[in-house]
Amino acid sequence: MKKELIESLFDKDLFIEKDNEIRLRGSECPNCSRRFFPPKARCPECFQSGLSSVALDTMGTLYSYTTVYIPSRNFKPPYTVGYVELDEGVRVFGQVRVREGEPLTIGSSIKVVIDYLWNRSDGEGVSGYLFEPVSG
Amino acid sequence: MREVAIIGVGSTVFGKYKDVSPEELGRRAVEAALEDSGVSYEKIEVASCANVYGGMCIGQSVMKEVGITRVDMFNVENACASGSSAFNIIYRIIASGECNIGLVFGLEKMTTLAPAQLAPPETDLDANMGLLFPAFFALIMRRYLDRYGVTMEQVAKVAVKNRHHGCLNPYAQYKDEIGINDVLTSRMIADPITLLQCCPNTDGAAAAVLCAADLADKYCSKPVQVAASVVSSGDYQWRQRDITFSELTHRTAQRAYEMAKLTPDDIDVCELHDAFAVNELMHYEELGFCPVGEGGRLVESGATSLGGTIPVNVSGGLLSKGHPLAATGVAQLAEIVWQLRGEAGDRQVKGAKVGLAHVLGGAVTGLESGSCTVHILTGSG
Repeated sequence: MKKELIESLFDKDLFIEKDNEIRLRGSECPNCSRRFFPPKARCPECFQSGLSSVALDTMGTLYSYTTVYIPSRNFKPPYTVGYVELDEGVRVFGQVRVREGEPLTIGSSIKVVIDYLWNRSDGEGVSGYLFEPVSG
Repeated sequence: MREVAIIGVGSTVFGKYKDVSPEELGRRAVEAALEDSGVSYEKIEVASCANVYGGMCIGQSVMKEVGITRVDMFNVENACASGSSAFNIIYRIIASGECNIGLVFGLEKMTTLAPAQLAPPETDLDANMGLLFPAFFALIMRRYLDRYGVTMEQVAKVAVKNRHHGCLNPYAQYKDEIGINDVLTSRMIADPITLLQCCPNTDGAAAAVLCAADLADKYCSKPVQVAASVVSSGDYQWRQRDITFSELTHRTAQRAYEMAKLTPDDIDVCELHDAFAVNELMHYEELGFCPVGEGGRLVESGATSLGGTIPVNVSGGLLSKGHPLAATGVAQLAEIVWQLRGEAGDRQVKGAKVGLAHVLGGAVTGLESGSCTVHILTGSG
């Protein structure tokens, strides 16, 4: 299953394996230690090159969210998207998997998961990151 | 640098033109502006054309229909701020002394050339993850309402106000009044943004003729001075920890006020980027018309309606006049010129002497926004 997931990732550069898990790959500046996602070749704060790859946190909080009722390039409505602030402070945009009876709020606890996202025009499934609320 | 004036403006009526080519829309606006300016065609030394969806060298396609060829020409794309960015290029060229008279025009054929749902380009990460413009602003809106206690009724009031203004503007796409309840009960697009809080898909074109200010009186009895023309680009989103305040708009406006040696209190009429109703409230704050968090109360007070102390989007704004992307920035400046010449008919702001136009354009993964322009124009009242 994991191998299939890796093969279907829509952009392999955005991911990294750590502790037998697929995680979001960020980059970290060797000078100011700031972390970025998506990864960058050069630090936009101090213009340093040679940033290192880091596996980003898998936990964060919901910064904002919206349920969308019009189609986008890869998603049929309705779907929910949001900004999640990972515990290390990096803000990432993506799909939010909403569970029935559990309304979202700003500040909800979120786990980043790697899973199926959409089908390409040739029918092949594409995987990537999405956000799952964590109860309690 | 020398002073620059606007000596002619023109626009098509904004709306849906299924059977009219983008070049033809552009031609109509350019000819209207040239006629308004009184400048003969051979006097045009330089031109810039703004367009997002029309393809290669569309400016030259328009100009060959007008009959003006062999001039210095630029095609400019800066998302929603394309038109005002193209204006800035001509402004700089004339201010520098390199040319005396130039033409700027923006055109967009949204109904046939733009995608049904506007989003950043296909290579953009967030766009692939489902970021459409309504979703982007819905995320901002949720934080804004949450943080400042702004009500849905206050947001809806923007759409109602601008629709009323649009009803007074012969160039506007929508000519029917709406109420708060219509806005709130219209179809949900991206919660909490409903259909009537969104600007429509629109075709249209607008144009302006610019001239060195010391030559303007030769052509025009009521030249309008360009007191400030500023273009800037967005910063990284991670530096903007609070998405309810556009640092880009604030920074661009501050530069414009400084350049014009004016303050927000001096502005008599304003056209700003109300792509979604909530944006107008936030831009009041960023442009300095009220303190941060007070946008909802400002619209509710009537201050930004025609007849108020700082009328905003008296043209109908993007919400009611319509939003042909690259035409919008030039059309806003045309509206300010008509206001400062006292030629705005039923939507005239009495005695308007100073006008401000603001556009915010484009979403790019990792940036708070793509581009922003602020222009301040002054007339003789």
